[in-house]
Amino acid sequence: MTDDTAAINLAISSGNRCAPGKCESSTITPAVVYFPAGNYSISSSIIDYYYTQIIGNPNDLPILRATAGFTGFGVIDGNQYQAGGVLGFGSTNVFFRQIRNLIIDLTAIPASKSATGIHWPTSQATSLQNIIFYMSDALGTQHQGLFVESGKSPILNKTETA
Amino acid sequence: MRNLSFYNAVTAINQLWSWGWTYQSITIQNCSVGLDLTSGGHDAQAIGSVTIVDSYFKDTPLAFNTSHDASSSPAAGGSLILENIKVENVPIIVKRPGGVTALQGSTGVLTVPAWGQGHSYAPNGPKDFQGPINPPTRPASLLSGNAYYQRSKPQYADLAVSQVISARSKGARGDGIADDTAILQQLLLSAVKTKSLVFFDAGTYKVTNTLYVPPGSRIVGESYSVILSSGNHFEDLTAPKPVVKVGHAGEKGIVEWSDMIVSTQGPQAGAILIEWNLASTGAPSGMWDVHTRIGGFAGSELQVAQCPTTPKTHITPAAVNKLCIGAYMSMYVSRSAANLYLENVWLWSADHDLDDPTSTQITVYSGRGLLIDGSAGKIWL
Repeated sequence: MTDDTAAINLAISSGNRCAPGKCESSTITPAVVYFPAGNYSISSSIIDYYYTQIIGNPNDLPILRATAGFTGFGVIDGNQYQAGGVLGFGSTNVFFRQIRNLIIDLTAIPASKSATGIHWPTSQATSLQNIIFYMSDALGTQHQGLFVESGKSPILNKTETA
Repeated sequence: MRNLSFYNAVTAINQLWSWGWTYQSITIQNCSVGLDLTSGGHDAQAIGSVTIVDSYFKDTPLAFNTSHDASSSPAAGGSLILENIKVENVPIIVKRPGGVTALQGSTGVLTVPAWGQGHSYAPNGPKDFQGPINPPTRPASLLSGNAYYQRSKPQYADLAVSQVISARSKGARGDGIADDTAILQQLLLSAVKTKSLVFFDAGTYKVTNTLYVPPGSRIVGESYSVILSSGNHFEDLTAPKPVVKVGHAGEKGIVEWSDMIVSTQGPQAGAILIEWNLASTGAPSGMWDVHTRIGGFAGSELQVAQCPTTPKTHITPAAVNKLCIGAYMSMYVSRSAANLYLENVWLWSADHDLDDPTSTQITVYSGRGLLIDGSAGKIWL
């Protein structure tokens, strides 16, 4: 299966947009990144940028499938840690973004390896809606669906983890 | 957070921290632990409070693992409120420090009407409590079954493209410069006649007069399309006018509106950004992910350049920079409004400039935030 990671990251970053660690915030480069139905092979984190709406086909949820050798913090890293252990965006300053209509599948990653579906330290006017996380349920699994270690007032609606 | 389901996890929810956190309609099935609320431990609780309502736990040995007791610190940290929690084969619902069972569960089915731990307030100071509490009476009009009503942001997944009308296709420029008032008003009035979905293509739509949204309207933005008020129609603090007016007073019908922002440009001391007059019957009208944003962005003319902070200046009424009065009120829900569901609505008078490279603070004045005058029916916040 083709590795789609680079193409997806290019779709998000193209257009001189506001990158974590390089830009604190911006309202002038909004983007909708749309995922048609299908299977997407992901080998490292999809790096979310500021003011980005990641939207899948609501009638046939696209599947983001992490490869066995996946590296990164989150199939979708909503706020990438920078050198020095600092979040790319201030977690109380990440506004106006959404993720909806996706399946995130971590099951190819060995159960003993730490793996995260979405890393989402974020703030007001953001939302996650209609997202399904598949993870290993083997004994001792280190998989986690959603990781929110700081931020302010995110809304989550209709997410399932299995 | 609502409408979440967890199956076969070691820990469904590991609550690392919170100030206040609300869960609604959560399902946890076949997990080892439902909610782990022990973060920080007995002497350094990282959780302020968690409230969970209308939720269901099944085949899970422990629903809530907590670190709070009468001697834990900070004193009100680890507060927990359960309301209408149903369990099935959950031997322990709440565990407290020392492995003690604070709330026994069942191998069968059991419903907890209400239970809590934390501080209860009395005239002579807070008292630490842990145990059953009286649930608030739930007005029948707010319920669906015995749970609080929910309505999610519509995605219009079943509409044909032909049922969607793009604002740009009708001649609105959305460039923040052209006056789009007339074209947008015409579009809104005609779209309801064909029951079409109005799509505001990404952009900033400048209006110089009130935009009336008729009953029956369905409106959606693209990456938070902005309606931006401008000009002297909205400048009189003594004669406020709505920028977006949903229904006339007394009108009935349903409006759905999502993924947009209403903002103001420059001095707009008379601007009521959103005015809601509509009364709905049956399913409520909804505003999902519709926000007001006053100042602090490119095009607002209420940025660092125009409205810097002045820490050395004592602000008296005379010293207020009138060019930086950005709004009269964010949102007004009027007396005739009824049956409105607001979810993820952020009414913000900006404290800093989002388009400044170092997030420099600004001083922008907004008269008022949200006023709900409506008593004719349900308003969900």
